[in-house]
Amino acid sequence: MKTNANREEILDEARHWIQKTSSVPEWQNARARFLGKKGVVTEGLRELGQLSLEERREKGRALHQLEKELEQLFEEARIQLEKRIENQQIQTTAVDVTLPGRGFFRGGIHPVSRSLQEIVSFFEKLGFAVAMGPEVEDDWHNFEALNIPPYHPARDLQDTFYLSGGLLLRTHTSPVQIRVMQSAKPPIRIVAPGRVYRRDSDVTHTPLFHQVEGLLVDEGIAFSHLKGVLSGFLRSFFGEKIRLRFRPSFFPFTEPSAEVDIGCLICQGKGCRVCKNGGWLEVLGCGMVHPNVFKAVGYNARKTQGFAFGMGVERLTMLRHGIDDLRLFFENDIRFIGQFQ
Amino acid sequence: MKISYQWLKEFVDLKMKAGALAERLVLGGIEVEAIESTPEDAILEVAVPPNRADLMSHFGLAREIAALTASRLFPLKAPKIASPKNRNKEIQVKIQDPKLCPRYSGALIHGVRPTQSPAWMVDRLERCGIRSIHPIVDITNYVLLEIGQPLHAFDAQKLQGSWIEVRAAREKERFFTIDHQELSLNKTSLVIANAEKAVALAGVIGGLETEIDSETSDLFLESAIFSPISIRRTSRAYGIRTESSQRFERGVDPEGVYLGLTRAIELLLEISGGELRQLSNVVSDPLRSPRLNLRQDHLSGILGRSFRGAEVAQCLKALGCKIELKKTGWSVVPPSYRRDLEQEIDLVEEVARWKGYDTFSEAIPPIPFQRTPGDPLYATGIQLREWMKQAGFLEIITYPYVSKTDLQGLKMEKAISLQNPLSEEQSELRPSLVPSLLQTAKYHTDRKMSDLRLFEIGKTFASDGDKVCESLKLGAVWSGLRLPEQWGTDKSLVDLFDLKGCLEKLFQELYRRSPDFRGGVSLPFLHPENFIRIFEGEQEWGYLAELHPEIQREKEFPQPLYLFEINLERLGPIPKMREKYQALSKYPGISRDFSFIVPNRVKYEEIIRACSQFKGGILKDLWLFDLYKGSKIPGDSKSLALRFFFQREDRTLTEEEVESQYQAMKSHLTREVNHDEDRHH
Repeated sequence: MKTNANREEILDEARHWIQKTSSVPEWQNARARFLGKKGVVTEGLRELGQLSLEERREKGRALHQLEKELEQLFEEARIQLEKRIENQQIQTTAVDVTLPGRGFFRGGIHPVSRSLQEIVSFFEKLGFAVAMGPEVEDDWHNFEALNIPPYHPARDLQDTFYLSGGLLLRTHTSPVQIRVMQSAKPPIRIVAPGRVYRRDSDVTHTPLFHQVEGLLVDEGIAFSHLKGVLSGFLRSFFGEKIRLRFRPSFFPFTEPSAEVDIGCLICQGKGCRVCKNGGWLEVLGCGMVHPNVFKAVGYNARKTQGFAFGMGVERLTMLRHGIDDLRLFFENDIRFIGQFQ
Repeated sequence: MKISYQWLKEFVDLKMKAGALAERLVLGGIEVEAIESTPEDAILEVAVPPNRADLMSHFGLAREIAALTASRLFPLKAPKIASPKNRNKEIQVKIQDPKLCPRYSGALIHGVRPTQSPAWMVDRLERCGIRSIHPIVDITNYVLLEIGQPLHAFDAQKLQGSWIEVRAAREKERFFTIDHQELSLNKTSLVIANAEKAVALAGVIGGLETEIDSETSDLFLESAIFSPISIRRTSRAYGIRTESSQRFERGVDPEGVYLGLTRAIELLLEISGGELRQLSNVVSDPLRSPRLNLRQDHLSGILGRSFRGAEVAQCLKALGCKIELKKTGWSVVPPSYRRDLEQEIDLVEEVARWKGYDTFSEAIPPIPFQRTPGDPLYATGIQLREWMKQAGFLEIITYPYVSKTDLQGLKMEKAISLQNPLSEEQSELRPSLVPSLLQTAKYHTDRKMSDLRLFEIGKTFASDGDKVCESLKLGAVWSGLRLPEQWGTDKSLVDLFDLKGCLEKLFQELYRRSPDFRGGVSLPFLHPENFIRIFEGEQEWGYLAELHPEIQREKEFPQPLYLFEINLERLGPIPKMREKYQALSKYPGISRDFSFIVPNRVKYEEIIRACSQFKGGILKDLWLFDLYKGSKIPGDSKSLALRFFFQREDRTLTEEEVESQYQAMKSHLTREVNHDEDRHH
C-alpha cells in the first residue's frame, strides 16, 4: 500500500468481497478484513511510525481517504444487503390473497320486523308517536268501542280466538287507538305496530300476523289529509312511481272508509295471478274515525275529527319482495330469514 | 253474490259494458271480485259490504248503478193480483214480540197444480248459481234475486191448525231443518211455530215437516222482517248461513215485504195456477226512516273540500233521499231501503262516495313542533334486534300457540288455553319462548342445519288470577360451531360461556348495567347444573342454560343447545347515554400475573370474592387469562392464571408499592383458598 495504484487494487478487492456476501455475518467478516483490527487500514496506520514526518503526513492523509472510501463502500453494501434480506422475507411470508376471508356467523332481522320498522319510522317523521297495547284484550276494546256491537256482521270478518273470562286475542291493533284516546285528549297522533291474531289458517291466512295502525285526531284533520299522508307513505314504501287508488269500503270504526290499492307490481296493471287479473292490489284500509268511536271514549263526537288507518305488514312485505308464500314468514327457515340482513 | 248483466239491463238503462260497470262499482265501494263472460251474458261476482242489504238483488243493484252513473232506472211494475174474495183469515198470524218481527205478511194459496218452472226462470236462476228445485221454491228464489226480499213457502196442509205464531224457541226445543239437520234450540232463537212445534227457524231456514214437495197443492207464503240481531245470533249459534239470513242480518227494505209477497203471488198464479185465499199484512212497527241533519260546514270539514249546495242536493236525491234545505245544511230522510243511513256521518260518506274518492286532493297535516315521546319499549326492541343481528343471531317470529303435549314434554306448568283453538297442536298460549325456539331449532336440525343462532322478541302468557299476564321477552337458542366451518379456525362448539359472554356484553353495551349471574335451582326442562339466573338486586331478569340432556336426546338434537330468556319489561327501556366520563390516568400502570392450583370444586366466584377487599386501592382490574386442566397437574384440580393491573391517578407507582400489594394479595388468596380447602377436608 504504497501508491495510488495500490489504493485502486484495495478498493477492487473490497468490491470483490462485498459481491460474495449474502448475509450479515459474511458482510461483517468482509468488513473486518479491510476495516477491522487486522485490516489494511489499521495495518497501514501501524506502519506510519516508521516513516518520516513528511511521508507520514502524506501517507496518513491517503490512508484516511482510503478508510473513508471503504466505509462508504461497506455502508452502501449493508443497505443493499438488508434490502435484499427484507425482500426475501417478504417473499417467504406472502399468502394466497385469493383465500376466503375468515367469517363469523351472519345475523339477520326478520323481514316482517324490517318492514314494520320502516313503516313506523315513516310515520314518526310526520310526528306520530309509537303506542303499544296488550295482545290479550277484552271484547269492549277489541270490538264494542270500535263500533262493532255483539252480533254485528263485521264480526264475521275477524274470526277471533277466545280465552276464558271474556278475554280474547286482539284481532287487530285498533284497540290501541281506544286505549290511547281513553288516556289522553286530542291532539293525538300515534302509530301502533304489533302482532294480531285471527282464527284462520290457509294458504293466504296465518293465525298470527302484524299490523301497523295509525290515528290522527286534531282540529281540522280531514279526508284530504288522510289521502295525503297515506299516498306519501305508499310512495315511500313501494317507490315514487307507484299508481294509487282510493276506493270506498266499509269498516265499522271509520266513516267515510276507504281501501287503498296500488297498481299491481307484478304485471304493471295488465292483469295477472297475483292481482287476480284486476291490475290492482289492496294494501291498506283507512277512514275518518266514526263518531261512535269518539263517543265510546268520551269525546265530543260532534266536534272531534280525525283519521285512522291500518295495514298488514306481511302483505306489504310480500308485495315488495315478491314473496309468494305467506307461510315462509313463520316457518323461519334460516335460508329465508338470512336473505334479509 | 252472482249478478247477471243482462238481468240488470231490465231495470237500468245501462250504457257501459260489464268491465266498465265493474270498475265503476268498485270505485263506488262495491267490490266486483270476478266477471265471467258467456256469449249471451256476463256474470259479476259482487261482494256486498256488510251494511248494504239493499244491493243484494238485481233491482237493488240497478238502483245503485242508476244513482252512481246518472242513468235511467226502470221502476218495478206493481204486481197485478186480484184481492182474495174470502175476507176470513184461515190462518191467523200471532206475533209474540213485535220488536223481533216488525212486519209479517202472509198469503194462503189453494190448489196449485204440479208443473215445471218456466225455462226463462230456470235459466236466470242458473246464471246466478241457483239450481231449479220446484216451481214454488224457484219462485221464492227468483223474487229474492229480483227484489231482495226473502220469502218462505210452507205446505199449508202440513202446517195444521188455524194459526201460526212468531215466538222465541223453547229451551231445547227440537227442530229438523229442510236440509235434514236436527237442532236443539234455545230461547234466544226466533221460530215460526204452529200450535205444537217450531216449523221454521225465522228468517234463517225452513223446517223439514212443512216442506214443499211434489204433492203440495195448498201453500202458505211468508214475507217478513226479523230483527237483524236475532237473525245473526241464530245463524251464528247453529252455524247456518243462508241467502235469507245474509239479507235479514243486514236489514232488508220494509217496503219490500208486501211487494215481494205480491210479486211472488203474481208469478205463482201465473205459473202454477191456484186460488189466493188470504192475504194478510201485519205491521207492528213501520220502521220509519230517521230524519237526519247534514251540516254543510261539517261535510266540508270532514272531507277537506267545499261543495256547492246544488251538488250535494243532487247527490242525495240521486240516492233516493228526501231533502229539505235548511239554514246550515239539509234535513234528510233516507229511502226505506237504506237501513244503513242512521246518522249524519253516513250522509257525509254517501256524498264522498258519490263524488268519487279520486276527486279529493292530497294534503299533509301540519307537523307538530313538540313531539310526544313514543313507547320506549318499541325503540328498545329495535336496538335489541340490531344488536342481536350484529352478534350473529337471526330473528325468528313464531306462533304463540303450543300443544299440551309440547308443554308436558318440557315439564312446563299449566298454560292458558284457547277456548276455540284451530287444532290440538295449537291449543295453549306459550308460557315461555322456549317451546317456540326449540320447535324452530328442530325444524333446522331435522334438515341437517345444526349451527344455529336464533332469537325472538315476543310475548309469553301466564295467568294471574282471572287476568292474563303478558310479558315481552327476548329469547335465544345457540348451538353448533362457535365459528362457521372454514380454514384456519378451530372447530370448537359453543358452550354456556359464549352465551354468558354475549349477555354480559349485551347488558353492558345496551343497558350499561352488570347484573349478577348466579347459580341456582334449575328449571325442569334445563340442565340441572349448567344453569344461571340473571339478577339485579332481588329482581330476576331471566336465565341462561343448557337444554336438559334428556330433552336434547328425546328431540334428537345432535349437539347441546344453549338457551336464554330475558324479561324485557323487567329490564325496562334501554336508557339514553347520560353518564359522566371518567378521567384517564396520566401515569403508566403495571401488571402482575399469579397462577395457582386449586381443587376443581373451588369456584371462580370465590376467588373473585377473596380479591374484592383489594379493590379501590391501586388494584384497578383483574381478570382470568388462563384456565388449565390436564396431565401436568393433579386430576381433581385446576390451574388458574390471574392478571392484576395496578395504577394510580396522581403519580407513577413505585416498584415497591406494587410488589408489596401483589405479595399481600398472593398470600391472602392462598390463605383464603386454603382455608376453604381445610374446611371441606
